[in-house]
Amino acid sequence: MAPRTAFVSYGSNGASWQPLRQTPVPAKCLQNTQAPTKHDFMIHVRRLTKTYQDGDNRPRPAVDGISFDAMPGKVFGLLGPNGAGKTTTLRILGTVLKPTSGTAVVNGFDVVGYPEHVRRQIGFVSVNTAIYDRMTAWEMVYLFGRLNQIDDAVLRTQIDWLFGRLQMTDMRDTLCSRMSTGMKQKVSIARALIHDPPVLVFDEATSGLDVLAARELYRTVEDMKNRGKCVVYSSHIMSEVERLCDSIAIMLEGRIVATGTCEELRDQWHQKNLEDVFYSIVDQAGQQQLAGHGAEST
Amino acid sequence: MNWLNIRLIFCREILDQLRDRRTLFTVFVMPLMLYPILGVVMLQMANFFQEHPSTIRIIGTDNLPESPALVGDGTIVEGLVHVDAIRLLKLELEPSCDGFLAAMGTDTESQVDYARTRLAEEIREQGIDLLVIVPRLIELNETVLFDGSPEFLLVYDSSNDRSRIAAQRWQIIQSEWHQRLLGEFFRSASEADSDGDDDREESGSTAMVSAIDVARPSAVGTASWARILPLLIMVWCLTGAFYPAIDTCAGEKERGTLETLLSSPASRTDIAIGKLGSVMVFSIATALLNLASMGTTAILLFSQSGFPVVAGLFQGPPPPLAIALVVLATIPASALFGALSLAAAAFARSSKEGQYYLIPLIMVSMPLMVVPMLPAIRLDMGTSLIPVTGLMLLFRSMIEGNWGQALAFAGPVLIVCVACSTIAIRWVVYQFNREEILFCPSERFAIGSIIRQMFRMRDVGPSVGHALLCTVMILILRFVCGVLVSPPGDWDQFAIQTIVLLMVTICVPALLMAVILSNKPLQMLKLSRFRLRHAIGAVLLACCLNPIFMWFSGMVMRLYPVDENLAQIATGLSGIIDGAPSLLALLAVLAFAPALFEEIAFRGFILSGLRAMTRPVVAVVLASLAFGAAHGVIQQSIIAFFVGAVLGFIAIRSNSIFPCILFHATHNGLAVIFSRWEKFGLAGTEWLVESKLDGGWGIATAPAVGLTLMAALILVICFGPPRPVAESRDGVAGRQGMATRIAQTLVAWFPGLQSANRSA
Repeated sequence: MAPRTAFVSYGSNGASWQPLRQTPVPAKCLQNTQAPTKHDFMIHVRRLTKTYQDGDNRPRPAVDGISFDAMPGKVFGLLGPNGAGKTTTLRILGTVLKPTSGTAVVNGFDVVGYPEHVRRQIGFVSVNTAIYDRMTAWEMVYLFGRLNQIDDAVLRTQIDWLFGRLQMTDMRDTLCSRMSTGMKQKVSIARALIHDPPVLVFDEATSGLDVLAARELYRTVEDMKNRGKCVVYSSHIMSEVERLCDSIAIMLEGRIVATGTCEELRDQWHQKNLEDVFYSIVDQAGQQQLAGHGAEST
Repeated sequence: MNWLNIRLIFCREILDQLRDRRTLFTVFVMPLMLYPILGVVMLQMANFFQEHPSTIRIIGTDNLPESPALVGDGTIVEGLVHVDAIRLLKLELEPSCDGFLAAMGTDTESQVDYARTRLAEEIREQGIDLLVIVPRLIELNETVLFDGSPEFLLVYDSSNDRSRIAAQRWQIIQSEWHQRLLGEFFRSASEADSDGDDDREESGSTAMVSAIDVARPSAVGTASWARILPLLIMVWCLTGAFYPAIDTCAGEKERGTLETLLSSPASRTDIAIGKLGSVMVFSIATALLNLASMGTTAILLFSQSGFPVVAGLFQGPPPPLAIALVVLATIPASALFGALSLAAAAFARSSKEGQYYLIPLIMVSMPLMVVPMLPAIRLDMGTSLIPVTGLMLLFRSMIEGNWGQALAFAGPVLIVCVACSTIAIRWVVYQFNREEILFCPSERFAIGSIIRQMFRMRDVGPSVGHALLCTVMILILRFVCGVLVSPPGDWDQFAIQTIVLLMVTICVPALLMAVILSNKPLQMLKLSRFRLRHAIGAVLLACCLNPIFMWFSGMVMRLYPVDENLAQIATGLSGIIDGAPSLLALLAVLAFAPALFEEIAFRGFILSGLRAMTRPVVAVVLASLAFGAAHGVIQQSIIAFFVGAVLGFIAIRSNSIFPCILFHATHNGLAVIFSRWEKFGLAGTEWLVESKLDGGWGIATAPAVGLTLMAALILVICFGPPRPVAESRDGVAGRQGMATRIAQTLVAWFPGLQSANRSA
């Protein structure tokens, strides 16, 4: 089987994205992929599980056998309350954590077998991923551009274009410690976009942002979607997920309890909005749990 | 490794640290300011202190001879001390000492009491710092001078600084005057000689020459610098590495930027090496700047007249070669301490927690830094294998100009340095992969929760914490009992003491913990069924490995010779052991009992606990370290470590400690028998056993080689990976199975062979 191109870098000529470099996928990466990849899917997750030891040294699953697929040119939403397992799932996709079992494949690369290749496919923006206070915005983005093996001259041009696009030109030489939350988030986004990854992950990205800054982020997400990226958007704010996402998975206590588009979920649960859908799901889960406990006691 | 990524991370870390005010102050500003300020303060303090003269009362000046004169015109005679020092001495003279001596009495205790009372009174009321009594008439008479009684009696208070310094000043004067007195005596004796020949005059001065120092002043200075410079370099490299390491590891975790870096394409190894490079740079900068500032200040300071002793010791600034070697020494030192500091910092969950790890790091490093300062320590094969110590001794040899010695041992020193740094960096990479270190906040220590958990989880094996607790308990009990228990007087005492101590200090802690923590203590201690081939293999392996262990033991004794005190104790014990009634009694006490009790603790409880949380190899190494540490004497500890590694391997392969008990008992038994071969040896075994150069007995060379090869075979046959079921049924496959089995064993031990084979 001939190696296929799995990673295409795009630069800018000021008007549109142009290919910078094409990295052929090593044949062994494809041979050793643990799960069969489908060409249409950018992210393919099957029975992904992550367990931790709790305070009593008992294994507790933070992510419990979830499966989903995310397509290029679409925004996949991961919705759930705090502690549902969203961040853990995204950290696994970002290869910051290793799964206990199951598979996760990002653009043909298995997260366990080829973590460094996976990281080149992903731009990761999270409330947990901070920026270096003692670097300027330009230095921060330049560093991560060089870590992604982008040539120096091309990278400088790319940074200038990106800063212009994100309206960051004024703050390029500002130390990150002197920036507002919104400005820092822009730097994080620029850092994630500089190597033009095919997959973008936003984990609670609007946390701490004001309305205007959040709207800027929404525009960026929509822009990336229109450019054919696969965007995974995680949030506990129903309204923004409803606004941005083409398909949604609702997580509760480490499991996916509902998937589908917004319309499908509203129709399925006979609710007007996603928030009411979520309440219905939680109520049902609670009743099922009570029923389960009652059965055990009898 | 991607060198571009390493360079990027290295540059980033350097830039980040250079923009940190605390780092800039600590590395650059503080050395340039601190030492000159300290120097000025010290000068002022020294001048202030030196301007206080010592007041000395000399009682019994009538007993002093006229020549050589000690006092004149109410002061010390010129020439006995430096002119400037005379003004620091105020004398009060009392002609007769009869009253003092009468009041003092003859009883020693009453003399001390009176002297204490009198001096306290003099200090309080008269401001006297020192009493000097001339108790007897000093004459130029052989009987008087050499009858052994002192010429002066000094009364001073060593807890009082002024009194102590007055005594020191007087002793300098007294020493010089005593030399003059003896010279005067011999001169007068020669004048009284009836020969009248001229060779008394031709023989020149009658001054007594007690010693000739052949060292040139430059060599004296070089020797002094050779001692102090390596120590300073090590200390500054350690302190210069630690805080940047904390900031770049634990600090990044706190600031949340570590997750950002870990989500980049840079591998964990690239990140660790990049950070190490930056820590090294700041460690070297700290060391050199501190050294330069401190050295410059010290040279200026000690050249003042107030510090003639120190100035004489160092004879000016260090030679250029010493400075160049010091700069060179910062590289391996910063690499070693940088790696260790990063290892400690990577384990910490926060900067605050990381700072607490500085103290254990210093506690481990300081003894290793102090050992080279001892006069008897020199660079040899034994010391070159000790981290930090070997490095210091290497550079000391180079500074002193002993290039032959330095080059002979430079290899082992640098190998140890690189090995320790590599292990530390691998630990850092391992920590970067541990999610509980990266993402969990600092834990709270709740003793109630721990105890509840302990009783709730009684059905599982021991944890790492239990294993470490058991190890600490064993070490403490061994230490306490070793101090409290007196040496045995005969064989019976020795036997009872040995067995009881082994039981109480080693076996009982493990047994108690197993009973408390588990519903199945026997299972927890791996007192389970075993295969016959494991048992037989263990005994045979002990016999076959005996020559190697005996050779290794000899090598350890040559590298680290036992000191005289320990050798005397060992000789005494050996005599007691010779009083054993039979070989069986000897083996019971020295072979079976240690085997049983030690295996229950170290391979049963401790190894099981360590295996719960780490790979088998690491668990075996750690359990062997604990086993070695429990032996107390360093030479035994080293040998026990390697024996423990073999025992650990057997325990893991057999999943039972019974084969380990058999191996251990056989190993000890053979050691006992060979140590007393003349008494217990079998006739007709001269081809097998021969006497060794160190006076003991051991396996002859040719059989030893054969036994070593047999040991390899036993490892494969008895302790190789489990056989697939299909192979055991087919006779043909069984013949082929042996080759396959050997191949499987090799692949199991060396996984790299498999991938190399596939790539080929």
